[in-house]
Amino acid sequence: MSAFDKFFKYSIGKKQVMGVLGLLLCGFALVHMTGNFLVFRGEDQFNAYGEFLHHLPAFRFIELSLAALFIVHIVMGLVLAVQNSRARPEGYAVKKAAGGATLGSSTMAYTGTYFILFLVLHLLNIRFGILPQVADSMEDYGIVANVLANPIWATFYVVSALVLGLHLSHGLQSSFQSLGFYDREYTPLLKKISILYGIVIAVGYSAIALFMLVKHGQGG
Amino acid sequence: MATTNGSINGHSDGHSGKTIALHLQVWRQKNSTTKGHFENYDLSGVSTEMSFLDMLDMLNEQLTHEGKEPVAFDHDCREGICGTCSLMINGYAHGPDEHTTTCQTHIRSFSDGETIVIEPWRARAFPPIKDLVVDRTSFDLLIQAGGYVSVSTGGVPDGNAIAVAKESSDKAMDAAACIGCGACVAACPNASAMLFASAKISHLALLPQGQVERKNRVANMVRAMDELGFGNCTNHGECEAVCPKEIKMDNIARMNREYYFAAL
Repeated sequence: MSAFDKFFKYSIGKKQVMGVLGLLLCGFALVHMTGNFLVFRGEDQFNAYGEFLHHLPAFRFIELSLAALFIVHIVMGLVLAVQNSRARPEGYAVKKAAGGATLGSSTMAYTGTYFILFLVLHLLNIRFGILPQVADSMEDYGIVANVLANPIWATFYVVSALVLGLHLSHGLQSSFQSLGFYDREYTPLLKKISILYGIVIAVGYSAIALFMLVKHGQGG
Repeated sequence: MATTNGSINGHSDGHSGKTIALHLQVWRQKNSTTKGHFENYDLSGVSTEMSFLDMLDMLNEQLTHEGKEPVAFDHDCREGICGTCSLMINGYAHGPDEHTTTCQTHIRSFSDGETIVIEPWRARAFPPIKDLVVDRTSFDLLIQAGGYVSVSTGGVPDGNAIAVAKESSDKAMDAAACIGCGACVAACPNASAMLFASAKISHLALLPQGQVERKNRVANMVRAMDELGFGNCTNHGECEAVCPKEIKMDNIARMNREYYFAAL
């Protein structure tokens, strides 16, 4: 077995892959959110941003790389989650958090699994435009408005934003620890930044969904 | 006033002002193959000066008088240094007191009439033996996988002949304080042994004698952790919160670094 195979075979190697991919996905979450803030500037700016992205020279490559990032992070996360649940076949009748675990840390597998559902629906909503069906004449802004004008979809996006925020509130700082970064001074600060990051992501994405619902929903 | 039950366990209620009653829910399991269950026991006149294990001794005395089988639990030094005692007490590994072994936990940490739920460590790598006793051989196997220095380091060197930085020596000593009780595994939501393994890896990686086998050590111990059925670390920090010797998670971060440097 090569050193490369060995590295990934054992738990710490998988954790470190999760960490690297998690950090990249944290970056994507922020870039995607700030780009989408252009809906606040109006239809033309948002569509122009969309056109810019679609005409990037390596658009297809970037899109497929992103898909690969998500898929590897999800599959490896599920493998680790299954191994972890097997490590304690019989649970405790009474178990309390002694001060380490947070809501974010103890729900990682659940929030992550929920996100598979979100990604599938989000792609059907926006990328493929078949749920709900979009008209041929619709540009990017129209596609987004078409989805978020529906209160049920808008609620789904707000809930998903909260779930993502919760996931990242632990994920960001956890990635650093998995990659071997620990400092008695900076790690406590990093934990606070991580929670703040989760809140920013949750509030930011929720704001987009609520803005579009208010602007384009019935009576809006 | 004469002491009434002080002779057996060395504790005396002659000078203790306060006694309380406790309601215990204790995990009973005949052996590794039978299914376990909780039994309820009422204990009165428990001195608040007793240690938790003194209280279990008192329970066992009572059970013996009633002709019932006493509760099996692990204990040895009762001084907080051997790592033999265990027990999940009301959902906390080693009980509610911070950084304290079960044997150093005292009844004064509990209130009169309180219900105390007592369970064994639970992990696939720590299979049950009887009642509250589990088999922690997997920790020995983990140490056998690499937690040692087997190269000849020569005779006793002159004092200060081998230079070790103060910071490294302090960190190595902090990591070496691990008593191998398994509370980290018991408290970890994933039953991971990473705090235990990383303490040994850190201890030896920080000292000159550990350098020769440094890369093999981390590779072999990580492999052994997986093969023994321990879970993976998801960075909750429950382990360091319960560790009676205050081993910190910076050891796990060091092990993570050691791992990819060993793989390179």
